[in-house]
Amino acid sequence: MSRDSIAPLITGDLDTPIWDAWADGNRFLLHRCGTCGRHDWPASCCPEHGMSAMEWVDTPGTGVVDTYTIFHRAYIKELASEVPYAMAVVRLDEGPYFHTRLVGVDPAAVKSGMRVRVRKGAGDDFPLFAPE
Amino acid sequence: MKPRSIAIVGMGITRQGRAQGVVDLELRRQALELALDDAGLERDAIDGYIHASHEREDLRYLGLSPNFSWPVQTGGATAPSSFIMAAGAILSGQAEVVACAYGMAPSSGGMPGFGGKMSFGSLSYGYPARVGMIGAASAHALHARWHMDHYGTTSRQLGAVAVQLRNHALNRPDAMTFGKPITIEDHQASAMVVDPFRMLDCCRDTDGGAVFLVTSAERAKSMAKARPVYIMGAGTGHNIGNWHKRDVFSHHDDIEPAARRAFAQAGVSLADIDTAQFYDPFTISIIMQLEHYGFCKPGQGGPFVADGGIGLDGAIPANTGGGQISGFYAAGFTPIIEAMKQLRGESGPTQVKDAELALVSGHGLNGGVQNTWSHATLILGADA
Repeated sequence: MSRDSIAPLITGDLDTPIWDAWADGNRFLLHRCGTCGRHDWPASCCPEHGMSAMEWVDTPGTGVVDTYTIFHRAYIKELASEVPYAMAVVRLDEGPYFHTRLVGVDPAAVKSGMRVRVRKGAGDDFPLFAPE
Repeated sequence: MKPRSIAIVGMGITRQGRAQGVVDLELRRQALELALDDAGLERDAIDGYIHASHEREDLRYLGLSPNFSWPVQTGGATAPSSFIMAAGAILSGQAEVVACAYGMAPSSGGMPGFGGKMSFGSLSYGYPARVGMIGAASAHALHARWHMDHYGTTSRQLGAVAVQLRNHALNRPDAMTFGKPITIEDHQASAMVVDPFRMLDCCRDTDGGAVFLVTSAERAKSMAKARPVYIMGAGTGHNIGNWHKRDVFSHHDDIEPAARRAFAQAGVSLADIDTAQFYDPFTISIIMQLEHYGFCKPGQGGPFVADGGIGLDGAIPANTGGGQISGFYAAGFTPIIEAMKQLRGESGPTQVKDAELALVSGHGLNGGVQNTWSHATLILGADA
């Protein structure tokens, strides 16, 4: 599923490590402050300790659905064959929010609080989440 | 700023409607002429210009020669923020009369739309768009779903907001839904767009222009024709602080600091407010703002509206022109327009008797990692 026509990734962007790692065997990176251990996504600056100790770290890509919405309407023609689909805000176990598409679940069965995990090995160019 | 130090002395509103076929720049010119006439001012009185968006050609086409032209864009908080900037320009001696201008023609193709033309870069819609999270409705739907899951708010309560707004708009010739009633059953039967929002939970793009002229209270007093409305207080808040605290969706923007500053400046309390005009692109917006401004308890916004709380005889008559959902969508200028009409006694069939103080809100900038981010509050006061 290529989405470059909708929102192209920018070469040299601050978030390049995320996309490179995702392309490299679907590793799921978060940006972590080495001083306090706070994790963020995407590239961030620790609100307390600044940028100096920020590092990219591998994480398992697990969390719970904090809130969600189900698209019944395709806002652009490229998505017409995909409605209805569920977009969720996942609260990752490390703390940050991650907005993504939910897969492997009937949109009508999505519930807040549902545990989800990033789907690997399916050729997704963006990390999508599925029920654990 | 001190209450009643800054006055809004002119308001120009073009026809607001779908697909008028008039370009945005011409809409601003028309609104400017109306505002000048409303204030009794000549073009050359304007020495400051603030445009709610980015545009290089306005000054030339509008025939203006101000000291500055500032763009401002902070989503749905742009309108109240432009008044805060105007007040700053006047109080810092940069201008005497500032025009705050808005004009858009999205339903005439005057703005990049969806279907391949949307520029995600400039709107910073960000990564979630790559997998299908597109549009303002979905960002607000995340808040609505959170509210339903945590408080038991129902689709019928969202519908109660839609019906109340329509009831306000029904008798208002300036509303796009003038003379077109809806029932709660109509709401429940309308098509689901982005769950939990149905079609009747959402506003529609409107073509229209609005220009306001802002000056000092001293200058306003010397203007024989003007019917000024005064800025009593103003405040801003940004939800990014709650993002950092990992608590975004229980909030509707960050209203608390905006409200606190505006009420402190005005020296009034919530009980003094005669009418509230909220930025209301979706039904949940009214419910959550009623709660966060303190008109009802957290989680009670749905029942509050269903029980008539924002009706003309309710605890706080709100969005009396039908708001953005049933009135017209002039971005953040919709609530300011209706507050001005209420405080000048021009709201006709939905006039709040003896309205002296109006609360106005704006919020938005739903882009980036999607959410609704910015918030601004104005408290406006009628001429004493």
